[in-house]
Amino acid sequence: MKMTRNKAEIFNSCLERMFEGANIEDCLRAYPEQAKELKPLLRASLAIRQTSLNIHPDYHFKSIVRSHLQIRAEKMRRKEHKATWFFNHYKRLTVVMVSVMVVFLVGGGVLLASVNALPDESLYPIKLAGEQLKLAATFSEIGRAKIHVQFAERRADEMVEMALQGERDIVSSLTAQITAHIDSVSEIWESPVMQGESTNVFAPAELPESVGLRTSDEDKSAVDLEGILDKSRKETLYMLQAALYTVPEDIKPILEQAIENLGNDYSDAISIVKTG
Amino acid sequence: MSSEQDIVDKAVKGDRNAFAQLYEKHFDRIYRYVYIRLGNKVETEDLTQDVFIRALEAIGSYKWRNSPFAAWLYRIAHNQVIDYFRKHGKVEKMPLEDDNILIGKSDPAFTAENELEIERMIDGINRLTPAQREVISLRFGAQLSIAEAARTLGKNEGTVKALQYNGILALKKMLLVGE
Repeated sequence: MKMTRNKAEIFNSCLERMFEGANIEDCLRAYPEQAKELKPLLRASLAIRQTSLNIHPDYHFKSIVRSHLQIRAEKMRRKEHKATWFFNHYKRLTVVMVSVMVVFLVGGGVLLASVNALPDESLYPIKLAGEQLKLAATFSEIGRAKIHVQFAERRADEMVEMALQGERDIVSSLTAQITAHIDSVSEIWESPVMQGESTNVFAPAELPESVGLRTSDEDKSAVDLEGILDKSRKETLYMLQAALYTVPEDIKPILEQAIENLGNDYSDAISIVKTG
Repeated sequence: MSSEQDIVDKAVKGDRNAFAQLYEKHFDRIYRYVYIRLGNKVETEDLTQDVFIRALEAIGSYKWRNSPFAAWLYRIAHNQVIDYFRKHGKVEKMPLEDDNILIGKSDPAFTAENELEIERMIDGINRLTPAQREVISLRFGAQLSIAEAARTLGKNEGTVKALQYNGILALKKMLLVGE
């Protein structure tokens, strides 16, 4: 047993050196007594290592898993976000104030110029900040749900542009963002406020309608959110499917996966709105 | 350039880019480890994806002091493989007796094809004892160090070295490589 341990130690010591680039003869020079026995074993080890390294995952599969993980991470983030719902309502007021200051400092012109910015452009963060400002300044729950649908469509437009440019990582990231916007619609629809419960402590009744505040008479049945989502789904998926004909070959699997995932996300949201 | 510990710390705090870096670093190795254990592309893909989903879900609770990150990640993969065999009612191939293990004589036609080489190697690894199989898959498939393999399997380093030695000895006999 002790003998085997000793051989195993020497064998491993040689193996480590070979993995770092040394050749067999150099490794065995330090162990002349064991050289004859160890040489074929070390050669076998190198052959096995080389054969192992010839196992490679499919490139598209790796991209698809990356995309799944981004979506999963985004969903986890949303779930966490939901848990801090009350905190975020306070945060929203802060965002409005900070964003107004940013717009004041940066200038409305820059914000306006950023409207058509794409994810790989320098003005894109300003575009997103502007969107956050719009969301934060909209106190009507239904208004915010509609804005999320609108932003999901914007991300889909951007996704087509990025797919055409072969930007696989940005395409995956945009898919996750669209999912987040669609999930937000479901969350808003299921929120206590939309369920008719008077829990909206941040929406005092005396504030005027003109600021977009949702008052207790905001009626779910009066809003065709299901229709809005359905229309958005059809248009978005149609546009992404059409893009499949023109995007580079290596982007196609990611885009196909995105179409499938987003189709499911839209269906889930529509079903929640329908039954809620 | 960030060390792996810095990247892991960021991922633990919810930094998705950091997790993406860990994904890029370990994906191929996890895939290779799982492939050697299952020998089936479709099932390997499913299981590899599951490993990273579980890692994403659990990364928030990971702590360095318990185990190096690679050992933690490969422990997930190892457990997934064990669960796979349990759920699918598949029994890992049992080792053959020493006098029965001579298979796959060297044939230039075989050696010319990577896929057949891989198949032969996996077949050989499947005939090792379960402990040898684990060590060889982790050392040669996942390219873990002895220390990382030992932490992954909950064994001491001396035992892992002995299992590696005996595993390679048996594989050499089976595959007739290194002659």
